[in-house]
Amino acid sequence: MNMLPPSFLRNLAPFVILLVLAVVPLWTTDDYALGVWTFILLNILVVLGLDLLLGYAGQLSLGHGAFVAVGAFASALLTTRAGWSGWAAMPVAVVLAALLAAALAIPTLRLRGYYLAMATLGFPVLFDAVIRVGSMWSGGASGVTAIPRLSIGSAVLRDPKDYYWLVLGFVAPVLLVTWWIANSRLGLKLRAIHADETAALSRGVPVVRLKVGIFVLSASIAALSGCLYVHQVQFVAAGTFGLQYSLMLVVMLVAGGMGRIWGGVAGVVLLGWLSELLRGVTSWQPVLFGALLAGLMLVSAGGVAGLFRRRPIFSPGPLAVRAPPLLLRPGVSGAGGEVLRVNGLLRRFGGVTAVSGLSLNLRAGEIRAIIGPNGAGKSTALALISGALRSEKGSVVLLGRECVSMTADRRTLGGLSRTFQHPRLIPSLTVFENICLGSSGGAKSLRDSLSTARDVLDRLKLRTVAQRFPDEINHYQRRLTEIGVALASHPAVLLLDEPAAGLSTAEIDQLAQLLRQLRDNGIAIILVDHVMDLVIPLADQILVLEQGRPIASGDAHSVVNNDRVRSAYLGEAATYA
Amino acid sequence: MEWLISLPQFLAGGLAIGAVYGLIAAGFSLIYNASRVINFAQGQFVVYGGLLAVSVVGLGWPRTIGLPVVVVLCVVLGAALQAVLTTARKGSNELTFVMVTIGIGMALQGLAHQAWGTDYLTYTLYPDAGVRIGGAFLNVATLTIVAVTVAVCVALWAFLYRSIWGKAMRACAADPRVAQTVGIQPRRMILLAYIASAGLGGLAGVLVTPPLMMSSEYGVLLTIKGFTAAIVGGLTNPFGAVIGGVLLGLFEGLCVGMVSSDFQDAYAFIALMIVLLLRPQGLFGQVQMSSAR
Repeated sequence: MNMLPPSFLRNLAPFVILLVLAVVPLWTTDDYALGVWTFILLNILVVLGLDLLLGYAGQLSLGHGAFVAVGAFASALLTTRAGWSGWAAMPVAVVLAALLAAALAIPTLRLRGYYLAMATLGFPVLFDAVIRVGSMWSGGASGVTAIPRLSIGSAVLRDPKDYYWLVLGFVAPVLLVTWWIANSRLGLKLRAIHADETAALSRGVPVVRLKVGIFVLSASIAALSGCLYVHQVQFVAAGTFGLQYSLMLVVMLVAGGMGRIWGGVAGVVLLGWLSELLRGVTSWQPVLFGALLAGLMLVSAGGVAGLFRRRPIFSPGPLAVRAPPLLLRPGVSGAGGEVLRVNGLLRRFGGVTAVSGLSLNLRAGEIRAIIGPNGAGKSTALALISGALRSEKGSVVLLGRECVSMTADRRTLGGLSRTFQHPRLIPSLTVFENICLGSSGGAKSLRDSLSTARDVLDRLKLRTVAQRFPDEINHYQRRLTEIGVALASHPAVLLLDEPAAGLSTAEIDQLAQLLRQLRDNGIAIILVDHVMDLVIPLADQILVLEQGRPIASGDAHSVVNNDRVRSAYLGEAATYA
Repeated sequence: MEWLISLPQFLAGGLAIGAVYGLIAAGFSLIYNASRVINFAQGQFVVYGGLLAVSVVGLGWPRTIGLPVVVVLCVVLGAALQAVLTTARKGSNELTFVMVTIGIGMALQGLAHQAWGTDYLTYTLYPDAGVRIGGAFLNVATLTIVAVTVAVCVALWAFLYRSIWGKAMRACAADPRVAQTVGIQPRRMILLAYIASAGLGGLAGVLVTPPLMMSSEYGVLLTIKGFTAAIVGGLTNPFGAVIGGVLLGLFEGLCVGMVSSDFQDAYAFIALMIVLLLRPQGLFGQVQMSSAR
């Protein structure tokens, strides 16, 4: 077994799941049990999509049942009222659900918080009202009956076994696609969004676009499940996929384990049969399953899958033989060329001017330090340059491109990366995966981003901890990883927010050496720090801020001896000392 | 022009329920400020307040004793919910807590279903009288609910801005870590927030059940509507949330009167989407954008 690479075993897993699901009808002769298994497959479809949304991207939908209902009603009405074939109705139903999902997602997912959860709780109320009001054509509470079965060629799929195979035929590609998403760079990005949207943005992840995209995808899959449901049961009414169904989907996912594709499948199978066993006490099911959801979330959010350790998606592989190549961004001319021009940035919070009149030019291979007493606006300055905050005025020209109106993710992809004062590594990703996240932006191939991440790992000598999680490594290693994540995006400009904070003298020396190397490779660095032992010898130029305004700029010697700087740091008395 | 004449009456119809939405919304706001958690079980407090009141009155208790007891029971329910939340494993994030409140809300609704069925229940509280103001007839129920809501707002204001506990709570909302350094225990503040919002919810249920009736299945709708009210007013501002509730109630009353009552429960959702699209921070609040602007 040791001969097999872990990725091989991983990629085998979805086929094992499909194989298990495929043999089920072979030993089930009873039509009722087969019917239960068909429902389980239909729910697996929905939960696979829900897992991408909730388990991976961390976005909560409490109304996925409504998208199943959209698929079911659209397909039911198109086939019964308009005489379409079920196959023609299916894509229309799915597209309709996708459009509705986009309309829900765009206003809510621009924001952080639980707006989507509340909107998806409310959407079914509207949908239900529409169905009831339009009972002329929708049947309302008495429903649509005599929905035609699906047929292949001239053969109508009447046999439950045939229908089971058909549904499995839809589960297979959806499982493979969700599996691929979960185990790709996209999966890393989704996990990053889940853990920390601010960090994700600064790693070049287009947060809003991905959240909306995943929601639309998962709603479309839910609608597909609804289409398949309605041609099997041949009946759908208002309330068929109500709140309780939507919540059950969440319970299934949580019971199986969020953020693990096979966990969701296991949860559906488990709870599918559990609720069969509890048929006698149907009215108590909300109490039981509600308590189960709360209990599982309190004890461990891992569900069944949580009993097994997640294997990293990407591993660094063997040690590189050749020396890591230069990290310089392709297209940046060597030392000396201007890479960044910042002009007149301004940001106020309420009545307080945090930063004003911030201007600087930076050449490739230059280290510019920004210093100033506490509250001088250094971090705000970094946030304005990196795009974490929007500047009210001024311009930021990066490699000749105006980017003052770009969000942080686009600036990162454009060649400007930052680190945070407190390392913001994604806790659910290994050190190597965190670095991969940094190298995954843009349209690079997987091969390229893995090899970049590997080079960064070796250059920073982090290979020994590559497969550890951020809470398993020491502070210096976390700092280095934080820098590594930023380096992995091939920045022309690197913004470091207090990289020396909390490091020992020896570690600061190592850090200084690393920064010299990076500079010699042509990376321009903006360094914000209090540690003068790091700043003074390294910085080509120092910019001093006080109360949000630049008060001095120049080489280390002139700045340290500047009277205004001395008084800003040491108080008025220092000028006379 | 007929609609113009009935306009005041439509608005009056939304006033009482709007005040109730406001009380629920203030509860959302208190808990959100204390812990950044959206309590999805919030509507259940109202349902339990209303249905317990029906039962207590049904048992023949005098209303002057029974109704306060019901509010106290809701407070206990809120404290119990918070106690359950504190058992979460260390390092749990907000999503965990939110999902626990969803599970508990689901279980509470199931229990209410077992205890009271799904019928609309009610009890009598207000005398059948009222006053005519402008073109609208306001009954005693509406007037009482509005008066109590105003009184609650004044009390809440006095608590938050005049008492040491309230100040501690606001400090904790602004920055729990800094609050901790001056000896405030964030956990106690969170407990206080749950107690207060459960009390507000229970009170709302007690007040609104006599004129409008209550069903065990109404919890989720009340949660959505209370949340919408909180968003309209600004989630971070409890007083804004109350005003948001009144505005939502008036909007609903207007839509029911002028469009159709078929969509009665969907108007809140429509209002939510419109507000999120146009002014996500609400009238008096703050909001965090995903693109971190």
